[in-house]
Amino acid sequence: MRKRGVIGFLVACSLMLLAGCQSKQNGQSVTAVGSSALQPLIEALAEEYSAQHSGQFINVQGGGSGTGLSQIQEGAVQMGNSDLFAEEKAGIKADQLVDHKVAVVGITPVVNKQLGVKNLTLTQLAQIFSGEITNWKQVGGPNQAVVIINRAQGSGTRTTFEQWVMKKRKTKPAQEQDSTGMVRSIVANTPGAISYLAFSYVDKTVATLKLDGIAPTDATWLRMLGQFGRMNMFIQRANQLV
Amino acid sequence: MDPIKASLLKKSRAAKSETRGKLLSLFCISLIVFIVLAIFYFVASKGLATFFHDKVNLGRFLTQSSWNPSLKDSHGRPEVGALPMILGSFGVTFLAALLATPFAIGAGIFMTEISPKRGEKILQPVMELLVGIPSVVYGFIGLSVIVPAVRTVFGGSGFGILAGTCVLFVMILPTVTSMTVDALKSVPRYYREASLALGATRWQTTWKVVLRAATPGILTGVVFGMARAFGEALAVQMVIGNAALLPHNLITPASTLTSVLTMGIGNTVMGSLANNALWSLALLLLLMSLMFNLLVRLIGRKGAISR
Repeated sequence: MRKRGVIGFLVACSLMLLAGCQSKQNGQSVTAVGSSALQPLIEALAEEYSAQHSGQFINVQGGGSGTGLSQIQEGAVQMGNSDLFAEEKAGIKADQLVDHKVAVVGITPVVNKQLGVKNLTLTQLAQIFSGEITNWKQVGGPNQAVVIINRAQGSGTRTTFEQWVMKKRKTKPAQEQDSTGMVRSIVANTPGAISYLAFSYVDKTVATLKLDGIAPTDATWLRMLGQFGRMNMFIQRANQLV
Repeated sequence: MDPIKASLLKKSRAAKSETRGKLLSLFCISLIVFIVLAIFYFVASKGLATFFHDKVNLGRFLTQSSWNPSLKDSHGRPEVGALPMILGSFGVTFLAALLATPFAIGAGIFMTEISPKRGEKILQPVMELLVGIPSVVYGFIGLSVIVPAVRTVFGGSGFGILAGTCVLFVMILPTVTSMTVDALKSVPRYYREASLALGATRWQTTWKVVLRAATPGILTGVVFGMARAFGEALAVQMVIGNAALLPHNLITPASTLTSVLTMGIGNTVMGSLANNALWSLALLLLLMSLMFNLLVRLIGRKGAISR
């Protein structure tokens, strides 16, 4: 009898697994993966959508733009979020994806609050990230070593940052984190830390920097639109569910 | 045909259920073997593509120190030098094992020789509790307690091999301790009795007889702990800083094979060089854990207590 019980349990388990497979395929749930800079917006939209359409659920995950692009290309998710254009990422077949430009967002350099540095020139910023400036006193700050926090390679924010700030300079190998939120909390807690964040993640725990005397606000940034970040959302052709 | 002959010729119910049971267990074991082989094949085919398909030199892969798979150096060769990660992985692993072993041996001796009762009542549950804590919790504690502590004591940003070592030390301690306890418990009683009969004190017995006899078992525990430390990803990734730099000291940001893997694998596209290079790292990890396993077997075979 006991053996029967065990076999019955195994069968029940495998049935549950099969049931799990099935419920995944009926299209009531959509998964959106990618850019963590875009994540707050998509999360808010998803919540609203789910509230209006009962039973339909949008699952929003971060992971970085590279993740969004590679996952949508493989068809593993229904929506890929990216703040890069598909053509800019090596190995992505851009013609197989449908690009929906949904938002633009600015990127701003941020530093630890205790630092007290308020303004940098674009060149100084590039020199910090290329490792030519290693102490804050070289740019008029306190005698404090610079701690660079980078995003992971393949991150859209990092690619955009390197494209517009670093230009031809090479980024010095430094700490890397794989999400915007993690970068923010580390900059907030590490003396002398500098990194860059999408506007949507800036809060009171970190201090933003003026660049060439221009403060990173929505108003100033909108005037310079086209120079900094942009966001795209990709939906694979085969997977157009929304 | 008379019923007795029929029952002798036909398979009995017991024999039938025996065959069924054998088939079931055969199916399970072959499924496991198949999965293991499939994983090996998959990781190897992806990992070796870096060298055969993308023509990266294996020697350069193991000895160069700049990791930038999406860029090419001045000779047009992709920058895939895994040395910083390899050193980082071995660094945190050996340091954590070095730190954990004395504690594990001390706890083991306390639990078997000095105070078995209290050991069983207090230390055993504590160790079991430590095993059950998910690694992300260790990482989070490391990030919010150990990293700032390292920063205030030693300076720097706090992220680095030292912080990783501290987190891994706590993570592998229960593994090493419980295997040390098993090893000490399996030392035959008459070893102790003989030693005491010769006039040795308890300390002399413990130090010269029990520990010596249990050395292979303790070493096995240490290697198991190292294998766990080597493969741990999340907790280490949170505290080590993830900079693909050669570690100059213990408090500058470094990286391990696993931390680079977890950071990068989602960000790369299947089939690209950056992705293949990550699979090569995974292959390296797999080979290392294989080596740890072989080491355990070797120690076990060499040092088995002969009775």
